[in-house]
Amino acid sequence: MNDENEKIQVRKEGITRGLIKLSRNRLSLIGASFLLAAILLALLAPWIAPYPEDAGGAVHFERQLKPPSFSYLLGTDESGRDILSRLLYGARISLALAVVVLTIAFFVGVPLGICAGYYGGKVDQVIMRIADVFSSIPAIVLALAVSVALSPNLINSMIAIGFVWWRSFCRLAYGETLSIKQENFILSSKSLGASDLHIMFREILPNMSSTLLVKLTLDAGFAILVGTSISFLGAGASPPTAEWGLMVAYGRHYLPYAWWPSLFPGLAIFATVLSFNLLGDGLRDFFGVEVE
Amino acid sequence: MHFLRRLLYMMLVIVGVSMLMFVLVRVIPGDPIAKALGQGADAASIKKMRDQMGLDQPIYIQYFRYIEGITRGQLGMSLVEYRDTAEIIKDKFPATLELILASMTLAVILAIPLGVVSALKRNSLTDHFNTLISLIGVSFPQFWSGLMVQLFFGYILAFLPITGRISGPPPMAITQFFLIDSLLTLNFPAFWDALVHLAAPAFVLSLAPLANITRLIRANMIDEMSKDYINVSKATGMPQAVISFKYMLRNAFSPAMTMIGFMIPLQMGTAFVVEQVFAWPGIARFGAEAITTNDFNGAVGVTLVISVAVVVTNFIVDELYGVLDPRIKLRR
Repeated sequence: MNDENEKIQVRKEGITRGLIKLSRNRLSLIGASFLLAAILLALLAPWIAPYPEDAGGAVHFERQLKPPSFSYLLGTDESGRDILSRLLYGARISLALAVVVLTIAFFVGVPLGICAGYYGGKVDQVIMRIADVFSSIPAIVLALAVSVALSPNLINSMIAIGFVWWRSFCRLAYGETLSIKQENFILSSKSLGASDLHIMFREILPNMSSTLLVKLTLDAGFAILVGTSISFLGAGASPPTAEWGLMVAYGRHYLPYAWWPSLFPGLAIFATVLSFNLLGDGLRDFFGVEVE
Repeated sequence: MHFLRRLLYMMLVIVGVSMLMFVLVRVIPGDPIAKALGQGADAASIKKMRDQMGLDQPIYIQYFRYIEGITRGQLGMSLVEYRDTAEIIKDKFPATLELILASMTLAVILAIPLGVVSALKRNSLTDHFNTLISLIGVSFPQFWSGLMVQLFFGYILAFLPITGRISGPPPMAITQFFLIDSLLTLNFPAFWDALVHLAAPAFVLSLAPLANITRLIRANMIDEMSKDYINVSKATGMPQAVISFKYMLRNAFSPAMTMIGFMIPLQMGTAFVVEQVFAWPGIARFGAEAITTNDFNGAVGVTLVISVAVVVTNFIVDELYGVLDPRIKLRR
């Protein structure tokens, strides 16, 4: 019992020290703060957006394509809608996309990867060969095809990307399982008669949690990149949704005369993805893990 | 034996891809033929065309017919361009390949000095700056960075063309790579023309691999630094530049080769948006159009060709890895 307490004590100290270490990494801190702000802004969008009605299909002919000014901080788009308001609502979509995609990918990919690694043999062959098929089609291409097959809209594009994304979680969990499986504590659990399910999800899974956390953080950004690309190509969100990729797609028709409708949404995507990468990079250094 | 098994396994993956895509494009809601023929088409002509394209058959028969077509070098008629998909791909593949190879070359050329300098000046301001740059490199939505490059270099500074692969007549076709063909035929105006058209899309496409390769070279160089042979070489009075670039870089670069191999699929995917932005006449732009307009033969054809390219590249890279780094062979 005492031993157990000591262990917990040590672990707690480790976490505190880790948090201090992590907070010294200025770049990660910037990433984390930006993400926190983005989440807050997204949640508060209906209250803080200067023109909440512009998130939808409002049309104001009297103020089409107005450059940034005091009344419209980031200018207005081709329908006269306030770009700032639309960006705030767009944050909800992109963050939701990351959550949906990663949830699907995690709950499909990780169990499959652990099973393949743990059981080996035929189970390994079947699961990993299917993962190989999925990996040999670029994510954007397959997600585009699945999204079209489901009939293109925002929700379907999220499902489509999740459907594509599981393979990378599967591979990661597979690799981790192969190495954790070799450890002595697994052998001792086995000899004590622990069930396969217990070993896989109570012993192996917790031991890869830091790797998975880093992967989730880094992939959140990449999922947003793929999601906005699919909307940009016209197989995701449909107008008048305030989706960042779609806003760039519409804004590009007014280049070079009006640069603001395409510049700002792209900048929002860039800043969000960069923040996830900064945070993920810091976490990677912190845990000392390598994620492919 | 090892080689044969890998070959067999490659075939298996490609068959898997073909089945997956084949089924996927056929569950797309709506009749692609009716859509392609437009509103004016009557039921009889739609039915006639459906029969012609074999869509009245059960799906497994359609699949076997498709495979049989491949053995004759056909990939089925595209509903976007109304000719065989294989022909379209043959026409457009070189453009995409030229773009991707140019972007990877650019990425490697820039990544080597960045990675080496970061490793040598580890934890310096330069190193942190380079880390930040590589994180920035992978964070751009490429469709947007493409537009911004067009806006800045094409419209504001006006020294790069906005879209396309060449403005004048293309050089005589030998390799279908405009840069190489124009040099071979000593057509220097065409070379310059092709080069300025290639510059912007290749740059946009090179950002992500540039970041990844820099990071990898840095990490590998740092690993190499702690090895004994470095100390020995230093003790013999060998100049640091020779140690860094001749010995360490060689050892640090060979793992980066696999990475470059794995990046090809990523690049093919990114090309889907970059070619769209720059109106680049390659297979990725055709593929995006085929997929979004229910051109089922076009969609399957392009995806199949891309995944063959991916699988074959990975295979070559794996084999090449053993040649570049004999230590790997011993471990197998």
